[in-house]
Amino acid sequence: MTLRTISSSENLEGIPLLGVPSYPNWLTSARELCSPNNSLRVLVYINIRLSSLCFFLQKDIFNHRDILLVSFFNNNSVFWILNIYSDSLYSTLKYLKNTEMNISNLLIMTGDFNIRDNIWDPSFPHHLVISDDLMTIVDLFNLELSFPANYVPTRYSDLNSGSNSVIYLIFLQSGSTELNNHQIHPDLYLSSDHASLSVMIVIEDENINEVKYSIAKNSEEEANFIKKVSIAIKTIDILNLLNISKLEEVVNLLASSINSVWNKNSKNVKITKHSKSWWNEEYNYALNNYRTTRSLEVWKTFKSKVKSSKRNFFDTKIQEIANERCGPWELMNWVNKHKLPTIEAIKYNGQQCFKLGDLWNTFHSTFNMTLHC
Amino acid sequence: LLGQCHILDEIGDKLTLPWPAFLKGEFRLAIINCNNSSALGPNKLLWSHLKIIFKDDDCLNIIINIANMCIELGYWPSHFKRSTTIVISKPNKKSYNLPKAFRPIVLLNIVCKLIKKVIGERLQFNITSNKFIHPSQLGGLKFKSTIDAGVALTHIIHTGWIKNLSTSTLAFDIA
Repeated sequence: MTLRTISSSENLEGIPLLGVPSYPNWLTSARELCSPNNSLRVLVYINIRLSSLCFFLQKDIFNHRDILLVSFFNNNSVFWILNIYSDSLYSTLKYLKNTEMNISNLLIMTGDFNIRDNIWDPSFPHHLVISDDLMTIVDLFNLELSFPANYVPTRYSDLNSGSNSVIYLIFLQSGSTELNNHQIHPDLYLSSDHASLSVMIVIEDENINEVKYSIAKNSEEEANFIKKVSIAIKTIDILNLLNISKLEEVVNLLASSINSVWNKNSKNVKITKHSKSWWNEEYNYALNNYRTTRSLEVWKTFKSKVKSSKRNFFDTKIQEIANERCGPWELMNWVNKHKLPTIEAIKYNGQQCFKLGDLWNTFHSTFNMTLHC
Repeated sequence: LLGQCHILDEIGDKLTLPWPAFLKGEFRLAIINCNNSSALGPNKLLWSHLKIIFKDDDCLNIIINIANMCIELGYWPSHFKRSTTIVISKPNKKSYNLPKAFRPIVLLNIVCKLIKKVIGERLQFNITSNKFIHPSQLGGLKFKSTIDAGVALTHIIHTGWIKNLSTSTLAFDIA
């Protein structure tokens, strides 16, 4: 993920910008913003390529402003990740200690704990009582403190007084092979006073379906598909269509022959969130040209072509919506702030749905309820 | 009249209307206004594909034969009942943790949809031309709309005013 800083913390009218920064390729898991004074201090970003693992924010287990518990599925098992911010009064740790919730399969607990202790910071000479509370919680979750592969501070003081500290911690599953292997990146703290931490957690292989079969419109493959389907329909023998079993047979034959023609003519298409309705063959050529030459001039020509093409495409779209479909108000959504919904499991009859079967039953009973009334 | 007819009496045999075989024109007329950008159903065909395929009389005749046999045998093939359900999130919802924030759509086999369309057109024609349906039924009928319902309601109110009467309306939704 590329870290970016926003150019201003206020909009043009001088109103402070509040909320979660959203990126098209990342799902945001965060609680709703209650008030400007109660701003968010923890959030989780999940790459959309992992969205098939069904990440859910679990507010029902820990309903706390500074705790984000996110669940996901891997090979039919539920796993959890926990992101925490504990303020200088350690209120989150006290909450966790009092809640006494037992969660199995918690892969990682991480966050800013605001505790200096000589267990994880050798430059600090003391041991605090609150650290014992933290270790009790860690034991309860069957976790272990992970020591970094590179011993550097995680928080950098504004003043060059040397009071840098280690307060950002990672706890991993007890006995896990990833323990004591995480990295601290002091060069990646940008305008924040915290360094970035990274850890690789290996999960079981899961077939993440990133491709689908498709036939492009107005393509040669489409013309061929239509031609072959016509031939397949014509070859169907309907002379002995006299009983139910024969009718079933003919309809199934029709379906299977269309399906086999489809399989021969369709090709794998990668699923992305980027709309490229304005893209054409000319850009393919221009892009390939750049890839072979790697010349800056060619790149600039390509980018300017794409820019003007995009502008023309969206101008036409705006005209179509505003004039032909007579719905200029539909365009208002284009200029509003695009808020990505937070991920939370669907609730039905007070229970959260974690399994595909539960989800199916929920939708089935919600939308078919009227049938049985 | 009440003495002669009871609610539990069986309805006597009525005159049945003949169901002639489907015509190519009916299918071609039904397919004209189908949306080319509809999503792909379980049989991988789009309306735009079917429009081109059915320009060929031989292809259309085969589908018409299958449709005729469905009517004749009184049987709907199991493949026509297959569907793909897609769950779409409704836009601009504050929270997506309730099932009502989503809307499932069902994608059907379009050959089956076309046959159903032609049958629907015939039924509409027969019930309106033979006056099988009550004239105050406005929903689900061609050339009838909410405007008709509004005009009927205002007419009743105006008639009441002439007779110095007030009109009360009870509206209810049967789901």
